[in-house]
Amino acid sequence: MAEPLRVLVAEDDPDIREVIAFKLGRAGFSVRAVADGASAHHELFHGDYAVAVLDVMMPGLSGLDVLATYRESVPQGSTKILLLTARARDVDVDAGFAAGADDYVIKPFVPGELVHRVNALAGRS
Amino acid sequence: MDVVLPHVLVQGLLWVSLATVAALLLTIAVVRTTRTLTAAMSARVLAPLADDLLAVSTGEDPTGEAAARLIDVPRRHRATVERAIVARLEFLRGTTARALTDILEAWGVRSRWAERCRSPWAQRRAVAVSDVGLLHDEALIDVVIPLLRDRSRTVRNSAVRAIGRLQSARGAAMVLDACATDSRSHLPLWVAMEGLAFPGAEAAVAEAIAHPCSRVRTAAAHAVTLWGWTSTATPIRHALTLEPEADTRVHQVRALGVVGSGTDIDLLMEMSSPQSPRGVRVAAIGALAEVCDDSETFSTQLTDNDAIVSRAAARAYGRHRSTPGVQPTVPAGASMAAIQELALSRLRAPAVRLPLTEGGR
Repeated sequence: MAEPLRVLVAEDDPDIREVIAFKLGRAGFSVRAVADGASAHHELFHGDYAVAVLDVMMPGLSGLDVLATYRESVPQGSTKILLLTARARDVDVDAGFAAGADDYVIKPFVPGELVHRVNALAGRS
Repeated sequence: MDVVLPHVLVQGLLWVSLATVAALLLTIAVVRTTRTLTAAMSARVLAPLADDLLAVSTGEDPTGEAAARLIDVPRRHRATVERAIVARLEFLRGTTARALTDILEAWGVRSRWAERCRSPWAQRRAVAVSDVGLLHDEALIDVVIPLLRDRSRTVRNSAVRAIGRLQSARGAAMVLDACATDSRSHLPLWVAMEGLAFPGAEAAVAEAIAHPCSRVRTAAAHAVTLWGWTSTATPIRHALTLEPEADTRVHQVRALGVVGSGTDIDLLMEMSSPQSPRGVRVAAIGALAEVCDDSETFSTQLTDNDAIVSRAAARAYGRHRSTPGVQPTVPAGASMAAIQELALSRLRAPAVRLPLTEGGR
């Protein structure tokens, strides 16, 4: 049996982190959840993740900082990155994609929809 | 006697100070202990319900059994579970949010929260009106609207956020009205935007562009800039030609930069002319950069004697000239401020070459 795909979840709000980790776990992913940008940065560089779900607003390093550093340092990196944020303006979404995000989900969100987006990024049907 | 009286006074003051410090320390200790006990009690109540709460929050409760168990929680524990559900409603929407609000509705929170919106305690009103917004039912708008004029700023801000969540067009119009300077405790612009951040607010914003109060017109123009509703382009254009207030014109020009098109170049050029106030000129140059493809548009402003205007023009010019394959030149006569700004742009974007011509002053 194939190993489950690994997903990194970085979110400082414990309730949101719990909901995402639970939902992705039920969808068959192996989930590692962290609470801040520094931990996300460490995991992204040292773990083999198919997808990373990064909250934009986190203490210390923001999701955008983690994303920009990863894309700059590991241009060939295979981890797909999905940004999760309450910033809904077009310019914010543009900034996310410009920084190298593969997808962007706005809070409030539907957990099922998030799983579909992660599935698509991971190449699962 | 002369010596004894001050001594007694000093001693008395010392005792009063000591008593105040002791009272403060006691209050802090009581508050911290209460918080710790409340957190521990909440954790104890929520622990056996965690799986059910998670199942409902993630849409993993197809039979509705988890929701039914939550509805049957003893009355004494409902307040704790209610706060946990409210915390999840802050970031969830769709069917999962609906499943959570169904639990709250089964407990009759609607009438209780509406009642709390009339509480004499401001903090209680603020929490209640914020919670009412999470029910996402526009029928509750009449509970929220009066709180836009509440004497407490915290309550007013929460009411705006609730209107944004209820997505009520009528509420949006009331938010704009509450920005008027003649209203009691008018809303700051940045607060008002939270109540206008949904598509249904577009019509109210379009109407407010011609409001008699300049602050409302400013709020409407700012909302257009933020949310980019293209249907407001015509009213914005019209208002801009009539606007007497410079601050409002700045916002209208910015809005036109977002929702306007190439047909607005002449109007924006007029706004960027020396006859306009500096703020309007700078905003117009920024707007021109959005609607106009020709970097030569900024050649006049690049030579402007006002350093802030020519810097704005240089930023706009540099942005257009940073297109790969286009060789930029700065017209002779460009101000020193413009040349400096372009040099800075070149440093910020090392891949882009901006050869400066001779003749700059």
